[in-house]
Amino acid sequence: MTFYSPWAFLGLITIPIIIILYLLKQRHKDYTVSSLFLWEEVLKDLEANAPWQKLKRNLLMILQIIAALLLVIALARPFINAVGSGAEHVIIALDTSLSTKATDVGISRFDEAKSRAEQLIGNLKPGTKVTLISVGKSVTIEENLSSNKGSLLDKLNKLKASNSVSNTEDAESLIASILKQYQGTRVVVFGDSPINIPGTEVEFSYISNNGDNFAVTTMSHAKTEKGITVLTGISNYSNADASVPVSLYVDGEVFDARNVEVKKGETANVYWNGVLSDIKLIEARIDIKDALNEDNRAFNAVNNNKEYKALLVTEGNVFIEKVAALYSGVELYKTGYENSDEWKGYDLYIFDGILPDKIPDDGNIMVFNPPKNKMFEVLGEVETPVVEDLGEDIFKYVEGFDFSIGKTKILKVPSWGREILRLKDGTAAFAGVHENMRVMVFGFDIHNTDIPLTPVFPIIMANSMDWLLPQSVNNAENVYADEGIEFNIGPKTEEAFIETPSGEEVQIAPPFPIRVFDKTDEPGLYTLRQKSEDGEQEFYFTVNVPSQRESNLMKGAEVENQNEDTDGENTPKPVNTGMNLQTIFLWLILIVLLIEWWVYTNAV
Amino acid sequence: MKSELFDSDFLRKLEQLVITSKITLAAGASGNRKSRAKGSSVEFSDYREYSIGDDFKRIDWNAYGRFEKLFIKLFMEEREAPVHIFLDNSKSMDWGEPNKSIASRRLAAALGYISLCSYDRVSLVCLNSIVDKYKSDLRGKNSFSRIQSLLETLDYSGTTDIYNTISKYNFKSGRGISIIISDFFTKGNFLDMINYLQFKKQEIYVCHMLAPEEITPEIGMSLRLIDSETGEFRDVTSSPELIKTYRKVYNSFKTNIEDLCAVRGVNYIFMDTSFPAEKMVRMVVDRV
Repeated sequence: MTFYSPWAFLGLITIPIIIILYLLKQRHKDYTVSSLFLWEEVLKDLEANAPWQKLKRNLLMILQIIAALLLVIALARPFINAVGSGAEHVIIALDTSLSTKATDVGISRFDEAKSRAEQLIGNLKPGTKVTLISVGKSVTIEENLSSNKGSLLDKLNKLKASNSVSNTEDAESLIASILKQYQGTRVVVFGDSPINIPGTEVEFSYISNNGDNFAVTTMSHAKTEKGITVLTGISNYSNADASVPVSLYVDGEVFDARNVEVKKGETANVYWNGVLSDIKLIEARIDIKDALNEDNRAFNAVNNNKEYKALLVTEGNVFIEKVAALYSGVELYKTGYENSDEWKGYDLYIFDGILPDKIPDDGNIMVFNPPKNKMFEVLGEVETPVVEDLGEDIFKYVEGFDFSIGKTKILKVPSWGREILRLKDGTAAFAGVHENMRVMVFGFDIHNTDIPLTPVFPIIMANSMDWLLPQSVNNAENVYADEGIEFNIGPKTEEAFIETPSGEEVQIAPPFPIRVFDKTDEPGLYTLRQKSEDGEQEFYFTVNVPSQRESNLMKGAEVENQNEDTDGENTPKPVNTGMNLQTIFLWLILIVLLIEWWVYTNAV
Repeated sequence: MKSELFDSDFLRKLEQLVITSKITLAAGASGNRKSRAKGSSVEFSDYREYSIGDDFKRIDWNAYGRFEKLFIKLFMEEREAPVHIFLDNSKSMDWGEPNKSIASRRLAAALGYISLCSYDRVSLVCLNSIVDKYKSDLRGKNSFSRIQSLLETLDYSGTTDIYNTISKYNFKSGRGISIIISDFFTKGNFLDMINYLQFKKQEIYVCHMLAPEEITPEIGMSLRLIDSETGEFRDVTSSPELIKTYRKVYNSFKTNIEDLCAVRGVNYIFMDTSFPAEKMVRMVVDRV
C-alpha cells in the first residue's frame, strides 16, 4: 500500500489532542445528591449488566481516535499498488466498435468499458500521463499525455460506441509507435477486441458475457425478369439452433415475414422473390431482441441506373470494343478520327491513338497511346520496359504483373494527375481529375502489349471503368458504417448533396474535387442528389453495420481460451487497476461515527 | 420560622383531625382511647367480688342490698396512647425541592399536634446515627409549643442510621404508636427495626418521604454526584440507560420496603414532598 499524500499524516497530531480534550472533559460538574445509596446500586447494576461499562468513557475516546486515524489515512490517499501502476505513462485504448453496443453484460459493453477505464484513471497515481485512444473504424488519440484526470474523464464520458469495426491493426501500429517513444509505458485495453503488440505486455480488460445474438449478415438483390430477388443471410451466433423470425420491408412497408431455421454458429440464406423493381430500399429485420440489436437490420438500395454511353474513337481496336461491351450498364459507340463533330453527349470518351485539341467537356476521358497534345506532355518512347506495381486501384484483384509491354510512350504526370503505372524510365499511365473531368491516360497502344491476351485485361478495364463512369454502382451500393465514400459524380454536376437516413442534407460539392464522404455512422438509406443543367439526378446507397465482423459476440471467448492454452508472451493479461482505498476509509469513518453515536445514546 | 412550618389556617384544620388508634392501651393516664383493661370510668363493663385492697368507692351498694355480697363494678377504662414520632434529621433529609426537611417537619408537627389534641402522650424523637434531640411525654395542646420550638431549631446533619438508632430506643411505656418519618437511604436491616418495635408492642406507621428529584432524577450531562451526608462522590455520564437503571433500582428499593411492611402488618405510607402538607397528614390519619 502506498500513500499519495503522505503529508496528511501530520493530521496524527489530532490524536494526542483528542486524548488531552478527554482528560479535560473528565472534570465532571459537581452535583450534590441527598445520598449515593441508590446511585451506588445503579452503577453496580450497570457494571454487572455491561462489563465494559468501565471502558465506556474510554470507548468513546478510542472510537474517536480510530475515526481520526481513519480520516488521516483517508486524507493520505491510500492505494494498493497494481502491477505496472508505477508506470509514468499509460495508454488506455477503448474499443468503440459495434460489438461494444451489446448488452450481454447488463449495461452495454461500452458503458462497462468506460466505467472500468474511469476506475483505472481514478486509481492512477497523480501525475501519471495518460494517452486515451478510441479504437473504432479509425483510431483516434482523444487525449495525449494528459495528467489531468478531470479532462481525461470528460473525454472518456463523451466517447460513444460506433457502428463500425474496430481497427485493431491501426491501433496496434499507433500504440507500437508511441511505445517506441516512451519506454516502460503501460498499455491497457478495454473492450472485446484484443490488441497484441509484440514484445509488450498488454493488459486487456475483456468485456463479454457471450451473449446470444442473431444478425443479418448478407443482403443483396438481383434484378430478374420477374422483378427483384432478394438474398438475406441470417446468422445464428448463439449456443443453440434457433427459429428466427425475419421480415422483409420494401420502401418501409412489410413485404413478407418468415421464420428462418438457423443452426447454431451457422448462416441460413433466405431468398425472397417477386419484389417489384420500381423501389429504392429493401430492408431485412430480425424481429426479436437479442444481445445486439443494431445488427438485426440490414439495408440494400435499388438503383434504376441509366445506361451509360461511351464513345470509342479508334482506327480499329477489337480488344477494347469487346471488353467494353462486357461491362454491364454501358452502351458502347464507335467512331473514326474524322467525325469530331459527333464527339458530344457521351459519358465516356475513349481515345485510342488520338487526342484532339478540342477535348469534349461533357464526359470523362480515357486515352490510349496519346500523341503530343495540349493537355499533358508526352516525353518519348521506350521499348520492353520493366513495369512496377504501385498498388493502384485499377490493378485491384490483379495477382502478379505477368504481362509485358512491347513499346510505350513516357508521359509527364500533370499537376492534377497521379501515376498509376510506373516504368524504370518514367510514367506509362496516369489518372486524375482535370476541369471536373476524370482523365485516365495509358502511354501504350494496347496492341503493343500482351495484356489483352491475359486474364487481367477485363479486370483492369473494369476497374478503370469503375473509376471513370460516374457513380460507379459496384462499390457504393453497400457501405459499412464509418467507411468513407469517394463519389464519382458527373462532370456537369454543379451541386451535390447527400441526404442521410435521419433526413439531414449534407452538401458534398462544390468545392470540387469532392472530398471523401465519411458521415456514414448511421445505418440506412442515403440519397446522393446531383444538380446540373439537365436537372436533378438521384442515386441511392445504403450503409449497414459490419455484422460479419462484429456480430459474433462469442468470438472473444476464443480469445480467452487461447490465453489459457498458450499463455504466450504477447497474450493480453487481465487488467489490474489497483485500488484506491480512500473511499473505503471514508466509509469506515462513517461506520465508526455511527457506532460512536450508538454507544453515546444507547450504551449508558 | 413558625410561619414557614405552619400557618394558623393549617393549625385549625388539624384540630379537626383526630388520630384514632386501633389498639387499646394496657396502662397509663386517662385519654381519649378505649382500653381493654378494666378500671374506673363511665362505661360499665362487668362485676367481680370485692377483695381486700380494693377501692371502697367502687363497691356497688345496690348489688350489696340485693345479694348481701360485696361486688366491685368494673368499667371500660379510657387511656391516653403513647405516640412516638421518629423524625430522621440526617443530612440527606435536608435536600430536594420541595425540601424534605420542611415537609417532614410539617408532618411531624401536624401528627404531634393531632395526638396532643386527642389527649395522647407524644414523644418526638429526632435522630440520625444517634438520638439527636427529643421531647418526650408531652401532654395537652399547650405542649405543642415545645414541639414547635424543637422542630424550628432542628439541625440536619450526620448520616442516617435510623434502623440501629430506633432499635436501641428505650420505650418507657407499653403499647403505643410509632411513626417513622425518613427517606430510608440507609444501610442496615429494616426488619431489625420493625422486629424491635413490634416486640415493644408498637403499632408502626412508616412514612417514606422522598423528593421528586429522587423519584425521577433529571441529569443531563456528566456529573460528579456528591453524597450530602458523607461527601463521597461517583462520576456518571447521563444517558437513557442510566436513568432506566436508576428507575429500576429505585422501584426495587421502594417495593422492598413496601413488601416488608405488608408482610409484617406495618402501615406504609409513601410521600412525595410535592404533596400538600394536609394531604400527607390525611394519608397518615386515614390509615389509623
